[in-house]
Amino acid sequence: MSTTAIYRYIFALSLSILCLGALPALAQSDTATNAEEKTPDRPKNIAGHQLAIGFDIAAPVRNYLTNNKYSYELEANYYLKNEFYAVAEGGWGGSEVNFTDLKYTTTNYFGRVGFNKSILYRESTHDWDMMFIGMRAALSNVNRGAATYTIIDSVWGNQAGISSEKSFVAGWLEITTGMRVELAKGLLAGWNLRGKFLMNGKSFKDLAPLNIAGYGKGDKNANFDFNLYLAYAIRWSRKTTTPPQKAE
Amino acid sequence: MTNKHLHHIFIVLTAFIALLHTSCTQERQPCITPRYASLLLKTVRPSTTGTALDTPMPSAVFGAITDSGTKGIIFPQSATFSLSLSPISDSCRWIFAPDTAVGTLLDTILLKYTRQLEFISNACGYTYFYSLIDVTSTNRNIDSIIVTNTSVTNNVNNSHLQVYIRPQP
Repeated sequence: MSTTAIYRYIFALSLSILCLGALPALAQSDTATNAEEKTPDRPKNIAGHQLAIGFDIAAPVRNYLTNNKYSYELEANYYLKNEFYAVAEGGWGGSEVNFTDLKYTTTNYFGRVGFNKSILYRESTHDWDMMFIGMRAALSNVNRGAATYTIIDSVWGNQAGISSEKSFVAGWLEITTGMRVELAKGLLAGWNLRGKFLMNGKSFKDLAPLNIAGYGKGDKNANFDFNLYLAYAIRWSRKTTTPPQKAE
Repeated sequence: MTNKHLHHIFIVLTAFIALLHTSCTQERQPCITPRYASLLLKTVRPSTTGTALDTPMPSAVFGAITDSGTKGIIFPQSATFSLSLSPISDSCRWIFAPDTAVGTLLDTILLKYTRQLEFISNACGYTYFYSLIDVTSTNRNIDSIIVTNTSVTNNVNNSHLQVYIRPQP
């Protein structure tokens, strides 16, 4: 089974679980529709403000297990309303290609902005566990050092050369799904699965980086990725205003 | 779905995905595209209607004339041959004989071209693609050569040269 096939399977599995998770909510929604007269409308914006800041704890493990690339990643999300969260993520990383016929290094910073939408019913104002779907737009500046290459030819002889260093911008869109659970008060943990789609792949025709931190393989137009976040949330109450009473 | 269920799903899926993600990380993907540009040459004779008719050579010999001597290849009976161009200069020479039989005369084919450095992928590295400028030959077995496609890339389906073979006496 290829890596891509495995990732697709995981993505499908995750979406299936999301759907399963959403079923009770849907069922409840139907029930609520049928018994609309009996139950009051669910109040919106019942939760207060939350700002969560975290980092990808899987990245150091990956860095330890792979010797040719590294990355670090941070995330911040802020609860807006109606189960929407504004999300900003960023990080940095690099890679070293040291093959017999190709050698170069890359470094890059990246940033993403987007949103998460929780698809689980919030049990109470203190319930911040969620499964979510989301989208991101991402940019990265990639610096590639001079690449030395060798074209191996057993008939005519090998030809070595240098491709000069280059900097370029990578832009991609992501769809993501994941979950967050509150392990202790204010301490959140969770993962993201990401499907990433490069928007300017033609920029890399010269020499696509083996790895772009935050995106993945630079010579692929689509990548799948996984993050495991540990985050700390600070919360404060939402100001509520009582709607003016209409005069009888 | 209660918080307890969510916590269980979180633990199981996290472990599962993390394990797969780690185990599937490969250092270098295998190179699945052709790594080198190939010049495809067809041996032909004119048919009675004037079209080129593929003419298999019984046991053709091609030899690359390199700085370190001639490196020969003997092909089984075929009318299509795949040759390489030199990545270290803008021209190269191949010798050609239609048969390995003693006394078979040799022809020399001179190919002139320009080179373009191409990055294929991190798995395959760099290679050269070529644009043919001129192809000439001696005329012992070869009558003439027609360039049908000047672009020599790693696309193995393109034919580039039609080599018209002289009729045997």
